[in-house]
Amino acid sequence: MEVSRNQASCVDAALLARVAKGDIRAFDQLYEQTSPILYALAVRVLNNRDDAAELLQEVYVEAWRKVDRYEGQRGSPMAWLVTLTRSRAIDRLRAGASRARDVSRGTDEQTVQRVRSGAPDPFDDYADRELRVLVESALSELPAAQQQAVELAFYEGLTHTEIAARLKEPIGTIKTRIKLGMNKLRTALRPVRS
Amino acid sequence: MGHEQFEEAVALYAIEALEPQERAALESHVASGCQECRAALAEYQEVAALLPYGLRSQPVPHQVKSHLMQAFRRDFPDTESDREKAVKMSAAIEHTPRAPAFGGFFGLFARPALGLACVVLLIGMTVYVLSLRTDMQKVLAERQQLQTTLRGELSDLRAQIAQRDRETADLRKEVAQREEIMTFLRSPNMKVVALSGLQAKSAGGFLLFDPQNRKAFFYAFNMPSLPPGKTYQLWAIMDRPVSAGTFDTDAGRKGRMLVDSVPGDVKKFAVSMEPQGGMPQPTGHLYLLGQL
Repeated sequence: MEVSRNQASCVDAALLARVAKGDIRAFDQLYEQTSPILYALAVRVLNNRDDAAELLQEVYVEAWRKVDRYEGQRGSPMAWLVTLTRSRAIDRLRAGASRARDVSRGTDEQTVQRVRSGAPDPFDDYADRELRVLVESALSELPAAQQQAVELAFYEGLTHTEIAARLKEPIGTIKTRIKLGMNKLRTALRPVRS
Repeated sequence: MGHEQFEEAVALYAIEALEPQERAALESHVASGCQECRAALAEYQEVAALLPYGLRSQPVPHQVKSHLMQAFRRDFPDTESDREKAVKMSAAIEHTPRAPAFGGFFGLFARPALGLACVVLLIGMTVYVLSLRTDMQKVLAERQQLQTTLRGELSDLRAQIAQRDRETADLRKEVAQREEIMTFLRSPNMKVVALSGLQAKSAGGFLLFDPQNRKAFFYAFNMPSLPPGKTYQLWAIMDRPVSAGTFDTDAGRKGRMLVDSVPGDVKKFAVSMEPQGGMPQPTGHLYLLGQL
């Protein structure tokens, strides 16, 4: 499957450099290209839209203030922004800064459940449609146990020991599931990785 | 922890699933110069960064962007883009005090250029409307004339159709009469009665008579022209004359008629000139006479 590079996945270092120099048009472009994905990530981790919106603002402010810390050889600008967003979201989650998750879980879980519903994404104008399809497909092809282990680590910030405790499975089993799952994803997503 | 164990741990490191000690150990290993683990780590981190693409995009609240743009301007106050400058300049122009307003439409004339433009526009519109009105009236008059003409033509056509209908009715009547005559002439019992002119010697006639069904066909020729209010009347004469019908002559001074029922025991036939509509008994001169 050939995948064109556009939108969020097309953000380049030059754009980040212009943002670092205070070019508001560059920031506007960066925001339009990346905010749908980063906001979705924040909502998924925090399970709360208000907290996710607040976090997103913090992430972008940090991004333009610390853009000089971005090292191009260690990944794409989008990967850097995803890592930044995820890290801050996990930090906020662990610090208990998020609202009582159980209160809003019903509504927000419905949002999360739609992730792989197969229905057209209403924000595909902003997202990387082909990339999205490929990632959804790669994730859906994972065995459920492997997918669960990967998602618990990535979206909830749990270590393999914490996952094993939550699922009441041996640590070795969880490590193997994560390792196999990530390996399959690496193979499936090879066409879009730089 | 050997290299193979580190290699296996790379996938977990990329999504931060390692315990802090394991994490630190792997970082030391990579920092020590293991290119294989460094490359594998970069690959897995790239995979991890793609995972959010599997999420459904969320509508980002609008205020997030506006807050960020404000914060960005605060952080970079001297580096606004040309477009921003243009927007600000535009906004400044928008807020520039304007000429005193006199209220409503006439307030426009407080600004001479705008007022002049309005006057020119108004005159132009007036001329255009008047021109449009004249054109419309012309078109309307033409249409009315056309309508009148069409009505006249329609009336003529209706009259022609009525005339044709009358002619058709006459022709049908004539055809029916001729068919009746033809049927009558084919009768094997038919008798012929010749009538001679009494007032005009050139006048004459004959009557084809079928005694069986009592029908007769009468034909006259060279008959004197009828004065207004007069008609010819055929008489069947037995002991006394009985009217067999009236007939008029055509331009060739010929007359013809069918007699549906000839009275019985008839001996003679005669034709007299009578007032229009006929009389019960002959009152005028006899013009033709014939004996059966």
